[in-house]
Amino acid sequence: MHHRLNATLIIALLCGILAVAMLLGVVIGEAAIPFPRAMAIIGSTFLPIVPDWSTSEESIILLIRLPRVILAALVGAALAICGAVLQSLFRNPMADPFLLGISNGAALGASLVLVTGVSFGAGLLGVPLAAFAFGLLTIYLVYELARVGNRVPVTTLLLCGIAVAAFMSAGTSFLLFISGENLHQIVFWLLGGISGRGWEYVFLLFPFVAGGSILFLSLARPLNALMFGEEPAQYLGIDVERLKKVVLVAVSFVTGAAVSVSGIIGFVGLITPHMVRLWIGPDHRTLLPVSLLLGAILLVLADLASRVILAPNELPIGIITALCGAPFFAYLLRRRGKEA
Amino acid sequence: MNLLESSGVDFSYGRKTVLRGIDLECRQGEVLGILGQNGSGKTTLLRVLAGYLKPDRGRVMYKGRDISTLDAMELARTRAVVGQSAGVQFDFPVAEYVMLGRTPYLSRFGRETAHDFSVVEQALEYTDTPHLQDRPVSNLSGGELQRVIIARALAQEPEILMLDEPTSHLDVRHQLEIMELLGELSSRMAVIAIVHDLNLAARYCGRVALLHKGSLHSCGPPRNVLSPDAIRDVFTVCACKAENTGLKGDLFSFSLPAPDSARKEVKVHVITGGGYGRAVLHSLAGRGYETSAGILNEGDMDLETARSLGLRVISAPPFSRIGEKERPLLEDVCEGADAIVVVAMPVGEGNIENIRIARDLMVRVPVILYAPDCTFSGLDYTEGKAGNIYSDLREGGRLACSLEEIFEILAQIGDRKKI
Repeated sequence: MHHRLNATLIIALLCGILAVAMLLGVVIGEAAIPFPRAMAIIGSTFLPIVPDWSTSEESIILLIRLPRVILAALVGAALAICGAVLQSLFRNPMADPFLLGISNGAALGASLVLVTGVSFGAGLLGVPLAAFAFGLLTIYLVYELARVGNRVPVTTLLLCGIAVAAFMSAGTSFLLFISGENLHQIVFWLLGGISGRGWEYVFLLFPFVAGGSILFLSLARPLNALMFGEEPAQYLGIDVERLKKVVLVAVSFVTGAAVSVSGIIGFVGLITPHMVRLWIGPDHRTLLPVSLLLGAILLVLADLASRVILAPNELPIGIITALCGAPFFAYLLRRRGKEA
Repeated sequence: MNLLESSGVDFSYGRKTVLRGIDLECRQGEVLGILGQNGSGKTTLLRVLAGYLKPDRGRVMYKGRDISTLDAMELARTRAVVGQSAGVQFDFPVAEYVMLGRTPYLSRFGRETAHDFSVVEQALEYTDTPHLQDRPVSNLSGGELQRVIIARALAQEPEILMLDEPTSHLDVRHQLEIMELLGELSSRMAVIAIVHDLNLAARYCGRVALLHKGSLHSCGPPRNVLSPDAIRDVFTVCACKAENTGLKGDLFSFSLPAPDSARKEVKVHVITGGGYGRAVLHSLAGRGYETSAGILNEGDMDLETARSLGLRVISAPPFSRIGEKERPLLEDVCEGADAIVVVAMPVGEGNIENIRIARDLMVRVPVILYAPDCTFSGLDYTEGKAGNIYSDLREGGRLACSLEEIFEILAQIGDRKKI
């Protein structure tokens, strides 16, 4: 079947583009390090290359830019694949990873730590851990509120998500109001950013993204069946309620982990799956891996832009994604409206 | 052995009881039709039989095994369900869509085997859809889509196939094609289908189950189950069975019953013959007038119509002259009627007595002479005698040139009677 071959080609192509984007992300920056030297520094980690560079150049590349670029790729991949899976699960094109209030919960958790300065003995990782915990708590609350016996009706779930998210937002707003000198920090976190995050964040996020992605890719076939409705999927042998639970829990953990390291980066999770659907169709066996790769590419590029546009200052990456994402989303909607 | 059997199935949504004590069975080699009014519980029953809803009481068995002991995958390998198809709006190629039917046979990361592809190919062939396989499902016509959905169900290699109104939204040709297809499939599996069209059910279902307010009204071959009486009970419409259609099953035409019982009190006798009174008889009976007809020779088309409507009929032997023997019977019925409707029909020596009696009774019973479009030409085969009687009837009775006019006059008669 030739469209499956096509899919393999597309995936290979995107892997190439991602590699190039990440290289650009490592090479381009405030400190001008020539391309060959940057390559040599990266190469020296696994090849015997005699250093002809300064240690500060080496730490800029290996300890600042490389983890940051990898982190951008991981966050982008996580948000995009979670968005794709949630849109299919809810059969609602407006679904994104933050739909069920996880971002609002995470924001509240992060703000609490930033305002009170209490990090529960986790040091620098106090903010991400609190964000993670509050994100999960929120989605658990939403789930329990929406549950009717053993079933979780999708509309109720979405409405409960809105209600709980509003509550969490109010909490965050209150903290912002009383935050005083911490205001800038909180706002910066809320706007989303991955500057200054080192390897520890990469190690924190990686297992979630890897595990989640493998799980989601294994669910491609059930998700395909689910496109045509919950009842027909059930008749094809899919335990729909169990699938919902598994996906919700997995999405919560992956998104929670992503939000905790990067703050709230909007639109990547919403738009990427849309672009992919319009491009290669709705088959999850290609939709999911392609969304994952495209999300990674987009966020690596957005991160690059956030460093370059106002150099030497950095823009929060959430501003870039929203500035580019919102008009593009509107364009997609208009185009689809005209086709239909 | 029955492939599917349900015993004592009760089901309710909350406090609303939807199904009560349903016992059904279905074997290979038959199409079992589930019939009933909207809201009678047909779709709920299908969902229970398919294992989507759990019955409150009673159980459903596939091949002797209680389905509550089977998991979703096992169920999906035993039965396939074609639901009421809402439109599909995804650009999913037909071949991939049908391949979804293989879901219960595939492991998570497992690739489709040659066997899976050949099952899909066969399913496409059975449903006559191989030429569609590269088209997106969002791009198919209603009839094509229904076939493709059935192909997906067949790809599950089911032993029981369940369909919820497979012919709704389809034009008449596609309806017949789908029903034929179900008949063919029934040689390999048990087929259970909710059918709305009673005539399709009568023709294509080996047995039908008539569902009425959540209970089984009756179940059996359509010839036994689908009678005008049963149809009136369950669907609250008047059904008229057409005879000698040459089709495999019975053929019914339907009409709405009288909105209230007042009309029952107006008795109408119809004098007709040769099929000229078919429309009159149908609409009178359909509107609930207590109608009788005659004198009609055995074998007359109007006699068959009257009988199929369950009307009182005065008959005479075939091809005989209506005469002294039947005259008192007719006079009797006419004197008891509130109105006599005489349908303008060709009159010869054989049936002139019919309209003569009407003329004689004209003084006592109101006569309505019904002549579509008010034409009387070419009806007299008695050298003027019949023509004279028709003239007398026009003068002494009331002329109606359409069915509506008959009902206007009858309504006036009914009003007068009430006073």
